[in-house]
Amino acid sequence: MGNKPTESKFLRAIKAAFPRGYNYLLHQNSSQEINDYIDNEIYKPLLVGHKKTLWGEFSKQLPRIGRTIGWVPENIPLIFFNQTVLAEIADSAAIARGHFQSTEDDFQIAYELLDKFEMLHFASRNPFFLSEGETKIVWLITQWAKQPEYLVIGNLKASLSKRRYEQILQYLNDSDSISKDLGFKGPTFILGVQDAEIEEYQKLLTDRVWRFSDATIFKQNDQQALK
Amino acid sequence: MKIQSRSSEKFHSLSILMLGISSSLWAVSARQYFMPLVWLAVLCILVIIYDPREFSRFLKRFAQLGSALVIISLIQILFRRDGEIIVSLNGVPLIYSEGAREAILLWIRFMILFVLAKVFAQISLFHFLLFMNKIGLSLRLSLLFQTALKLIPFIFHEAQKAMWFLRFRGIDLRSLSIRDKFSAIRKLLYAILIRGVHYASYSALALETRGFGVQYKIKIRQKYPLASGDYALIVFVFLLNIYGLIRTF
Repeated sequence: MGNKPTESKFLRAIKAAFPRGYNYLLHQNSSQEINDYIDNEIYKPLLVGHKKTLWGEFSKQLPRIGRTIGWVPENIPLIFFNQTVLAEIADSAAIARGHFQSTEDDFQIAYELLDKFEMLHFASRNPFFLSEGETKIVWLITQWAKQPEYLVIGNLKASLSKRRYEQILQYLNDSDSISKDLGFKGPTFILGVQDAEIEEYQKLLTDRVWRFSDATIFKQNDQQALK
Repeated sequence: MKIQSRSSEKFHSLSILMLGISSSLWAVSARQYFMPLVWLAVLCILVIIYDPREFSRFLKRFAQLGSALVIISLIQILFRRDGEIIVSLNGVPLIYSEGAREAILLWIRFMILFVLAKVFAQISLFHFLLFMNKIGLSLRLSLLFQTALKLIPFIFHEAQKAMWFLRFRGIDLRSLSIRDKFSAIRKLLYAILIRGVHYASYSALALETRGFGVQYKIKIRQKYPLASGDYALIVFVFLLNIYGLIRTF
């Protein structure tokens, strides 16, 4: 992968497998399946490949992929660009509005998002110095704020306390109303679940917007088929 | 730290160090092209001996620095006003011989420094530590050198990661205005700085948990002898220095 046609196939495959208008609980055999796949598809090539260098063709595709897909990986790499959580989220909100520099409006959106996630007390904290769970939530909010078409969460449970996990699950359930309140279109969520976890996610499936999917596009065996 | 056998390295740290000191001294002090060019050729041959494929990759990376060097060279060419006039426009002198010479020497110096960094990168961290231990440097100073050397690839890797995250946020750097580009670079540098602070804190913690500072000096018992190739290189460096001195004076 790494060249132009492959990238298009990657995005096309996601769009074909997950039509917009619904959210998806995606079956995965292990908690790492989706994350590993995305890691191999769009993250590692830039860091380890010789041909797929930082300045190569693949890197030109990345902003488009980033605007289409939001991703919450298992281990959040500690890379942030601002001194406060609020500014970090405001920056993402600015991108969604087509700006690079965040404005007062973007800060207002960031403030409201933090409020919705009961994270307002983190607004002035430095994102580099948060716990794993806090970092994960801040990362999730930044990904939500950039308003991608799809927001992929491979393993929601990892690093979160039971209370936070249930809280986030509730937000995902109410995602449409949260997005509407903020004037967002709202992403299509793709949430990875394993067999043992399906029971916990039943509540989501009672909502007609959520569907269970057995799509195999994030499975390692299908990587070759995509290429 | 992974202990590697001596056979995995083509030259001893001492011979590389002697080569490095000689070539950089000539690069900085020479006023003529000949000796710096000879040293540059020697260093390039050494890189090719290490890995011919790596040399072409290295040239590509150097080409990326080309635009920055052109600007520096232009400053030398335009503002150095010594020597004979080489180019003039309507009677106004534009380029002087000294300016042109300095610009060319500057390129050769940068090339030498760049190739030298590549040659030094071939020495494993363990062998460099071993070498410093054998010449009697304190552990504190040795680790200071090691940390500084290790920081360069670390910063490069972190810059790559930061670029990835900036782009994955949906930012296309090419489409930004100059003001936004400047702001993006500032954000990138901030991320790299904080990651550097993390790296330093974790390294310090790792060192202390291993008892760093308990002993001022330690003796590593592993042997680190010079091979025949090293003797040949040292003799060659010595002879080239003598030749250069005779030629110059």
